[in-house]
Amino acid sequence: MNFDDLSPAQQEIVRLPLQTKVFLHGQAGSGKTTAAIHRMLGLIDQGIPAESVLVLVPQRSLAQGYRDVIRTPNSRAGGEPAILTIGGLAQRMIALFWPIVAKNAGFKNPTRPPQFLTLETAQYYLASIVEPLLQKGYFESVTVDPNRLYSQILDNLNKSAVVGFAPDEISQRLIQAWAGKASQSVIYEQAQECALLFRKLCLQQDLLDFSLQLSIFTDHLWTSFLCKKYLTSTYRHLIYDNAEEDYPVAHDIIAKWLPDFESALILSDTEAGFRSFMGADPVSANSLGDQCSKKVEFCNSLVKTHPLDNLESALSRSLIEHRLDGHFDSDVESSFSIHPFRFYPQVIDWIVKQVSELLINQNVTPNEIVILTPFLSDSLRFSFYTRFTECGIPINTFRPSRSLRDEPAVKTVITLAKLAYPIWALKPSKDEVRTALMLTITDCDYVRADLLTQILYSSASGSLRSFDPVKKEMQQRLTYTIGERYEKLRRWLEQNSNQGTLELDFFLSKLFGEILSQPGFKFHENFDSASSVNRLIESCRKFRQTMTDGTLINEASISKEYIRLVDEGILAAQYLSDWAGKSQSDSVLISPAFSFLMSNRPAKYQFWLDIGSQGWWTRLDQPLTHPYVLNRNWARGQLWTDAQEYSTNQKTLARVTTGLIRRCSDHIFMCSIGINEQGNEERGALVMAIQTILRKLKTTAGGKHV
Amino acid sequence: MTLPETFIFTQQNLQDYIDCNRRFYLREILKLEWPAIESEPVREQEELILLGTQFHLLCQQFFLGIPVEDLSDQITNLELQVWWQNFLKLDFKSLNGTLSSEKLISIPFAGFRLAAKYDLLLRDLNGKNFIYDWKTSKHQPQRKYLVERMQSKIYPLVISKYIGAKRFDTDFNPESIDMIYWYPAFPNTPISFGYSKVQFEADQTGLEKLIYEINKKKEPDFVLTEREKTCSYCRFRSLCNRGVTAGVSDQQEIDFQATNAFNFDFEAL
Repeated sequence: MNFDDLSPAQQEIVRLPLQTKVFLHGQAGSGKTTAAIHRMLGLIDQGIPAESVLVLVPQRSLAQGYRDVIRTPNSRAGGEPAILTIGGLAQRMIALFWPIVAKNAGFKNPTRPPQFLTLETAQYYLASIVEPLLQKGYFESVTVDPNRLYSQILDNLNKSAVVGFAPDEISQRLIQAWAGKASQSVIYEQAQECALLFRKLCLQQDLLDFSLQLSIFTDHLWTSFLCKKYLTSTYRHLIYDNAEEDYPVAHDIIAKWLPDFESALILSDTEAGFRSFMGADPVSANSLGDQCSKKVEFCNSLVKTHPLDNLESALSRSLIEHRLDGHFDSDVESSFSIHPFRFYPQVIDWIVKQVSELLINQNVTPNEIVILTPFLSDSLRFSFYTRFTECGIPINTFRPSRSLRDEPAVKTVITLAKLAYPIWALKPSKDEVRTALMLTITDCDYVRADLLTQILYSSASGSLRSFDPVKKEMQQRLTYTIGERYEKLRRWLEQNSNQGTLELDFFLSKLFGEILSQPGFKFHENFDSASSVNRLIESCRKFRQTMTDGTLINEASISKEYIRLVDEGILAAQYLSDWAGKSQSDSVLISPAFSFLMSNRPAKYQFWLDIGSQGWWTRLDQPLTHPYVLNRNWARGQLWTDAQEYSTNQKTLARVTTGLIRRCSDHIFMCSIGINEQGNEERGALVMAIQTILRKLKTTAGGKHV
Repeated sequence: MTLPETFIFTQQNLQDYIDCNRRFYLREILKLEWPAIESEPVREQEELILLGTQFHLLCQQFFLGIPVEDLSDQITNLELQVWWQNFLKLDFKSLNGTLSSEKLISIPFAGFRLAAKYDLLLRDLNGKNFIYDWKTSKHQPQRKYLVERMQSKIYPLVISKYIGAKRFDTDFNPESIDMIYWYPAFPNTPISFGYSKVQFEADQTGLEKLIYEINKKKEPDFVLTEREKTCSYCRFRSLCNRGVTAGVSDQQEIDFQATNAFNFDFEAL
């Protein structure tokens, strides 16, 4: 978009005098980010070195627009603005200034390099602390998967870092707000004990999880002369987008830093704060406005239509007040439509048909359509993928926490690793071996894979036997080609098993390159499998490199330990998918509603799937933590009651629907389903609120919606 | 095929193109993740990369003003200690001029952007510009090998155009630029190149032509290299039916830019 295409209000932001600090707020879709991008370009055009501009965002996906524009050939020669999250900035500063900060921060071995923990390696170290305690009866009254137990303990530590309170206050804060049985306080205390033991281990072994990185940045680096001098002299201009989705500690740092910037543009969406369950704090973001010399509000949406505006208001009122009194504009009717179905497959077929109709007959482009759901399960993703592919429609999915260990390619290589290393005594089951052979050997179908497994796999020894002694008739039945490929694989595994000393990540790379991706094997030209195996290898390598520097286990056991932890679901359970670039591709997007909101892009048509689902409303069950209590806006000593839970969920849902509608420019197709994926009938808060609107429409204009 | 407008050309991806058109296509256009081993011995390669990463970080920390004693305390590897001592002997602290380390510069070029990341840029009081590149390989290649590398063409060109644009000086004299490959394992035999207007113009024309050629190509035109030996050191060899095992690399230089800690995406964590 050229400068001349900007609205007068946007042009005014771009033209503000250089040394101005502005707080720009307004609804999503009012053109704030576009104005900020042009402001950034304007600064650079005035001769400001691009590398002196800091673009801060709460989540990487929110910065795509900035990234794209500075990489176009139109931008001037020079450096690039730094586009960072506060967590990214913290990690970068720790890496650079570690030699001067490690000792003061309490690390036992300050001359050793820092080990940055990923979520999964943090869970691994935490598990080493919690597992013995579980044997002693800790968390006995909590029915929760160990992984979720670990992630909630880490979440408590993260909350202490992002909100800015000491980790030893976690249990006290949770207990003070707990309105249920007194026995829960023991659980909170145990959770805190584990968190503090984990912190102690980190300090002893130079390990830095997210919470410790942020604490070191705020408590030690930000106060260090050298680091502060570096930051304040390197970054002279600030653009802080979606400040309302960031943590209060990030706002504290910016509040202190603001006087040092020559210019600042802080952007905040109203009625947002979708990441509040992660600690986002729109209240403290707004307080940054008081430190700016100018406050500007963008009032009008550049995206949604008048009927959609009315739908936003009606839905919000209906959710919060449970009724629609007073004025009600019936043009809302054109902004949405309700489509009821009995079963899931019916709704999927209908959506695919409707999308085809939009693409073919109405000249809509695929990236103008999004299909939104509270959660995106594997089966739902697969169903959509299959049907859209049949129709030749490109699709794309956002699924930020997809489980790597559930990928068939990953399961296959792990089974093969177990076969290659009988010394681990991790014998794969016959099912696993059959699936691995079927997914590995070209032309090997289920029946042949089963025969190979029955005849040639010894589950007692956990090893494969040679194909050569198999009776001729059976060899013919299996085919010699498959036999030859099987033998190639078996011999390779045997040969590398004999080596025995190869680290698992190297072993997997060799297995992939020398066998699985060669002609005659199914990973050859299978880019999805290659990508999944690549991510597994990266995870494995990070684990090895962290463990090699630590002292928990000896080097020889690392590979076995990694496989065991994958099997138990502790490792390779989560990874962040790469959203960058994907959002721009010309395809229909299928996404959880939250992920779409965090991609900061509008769509012409939205499909809301299963509006009766409780998933739109209910927050995750987290018995060891609490996002609203471990929050700066929570009055300590107050009890968290059912009424508050209900009211908060209603407000959160209203925020989500408001956010979605503000990112829609034409029409929302709302699909209700009688029987959900689990076979249950649901009537959640969203469908109830929509029914309130429909009743009102019927009384005012004889509405046509069902 | 038309590349996306936001595509950035670098010495690494252009070198890929020169080495094998197909590799460029797979890596840069398809962005294919292909986790095969590039070259053997894989453990030694990893160690060398980690050592290179640490050395680059130490140099950057040095230029940030972190006390030398604090940095020296961080070093436990003997080889790195030797490299570090060799670096300190260069005595950058006593040099007069302007220093920038780990500086990324990109310029508009041939309808795209062309980017270079400099380990150290030094401008002395006489207006002479020195580009330093730390090379942490265990073998020092011949000068001829380096002359032909894309890095030797792109780094001086980008800085020339950048300085020219910054000063609105179309007549900026490229002869004020020297490119120095400095090997901490061979501190006394840096390989340096002067730059000239003739070289600048030749590089500019050559690179423009190359980028135009790439952008014009369709998928089947990105053909496999005829020098099959290259495939021994390429992770895509299985996809291209060009071999099974990785070649043993004893002389080949590890291109640090590909694995540089500062290309590492911190935010991805």
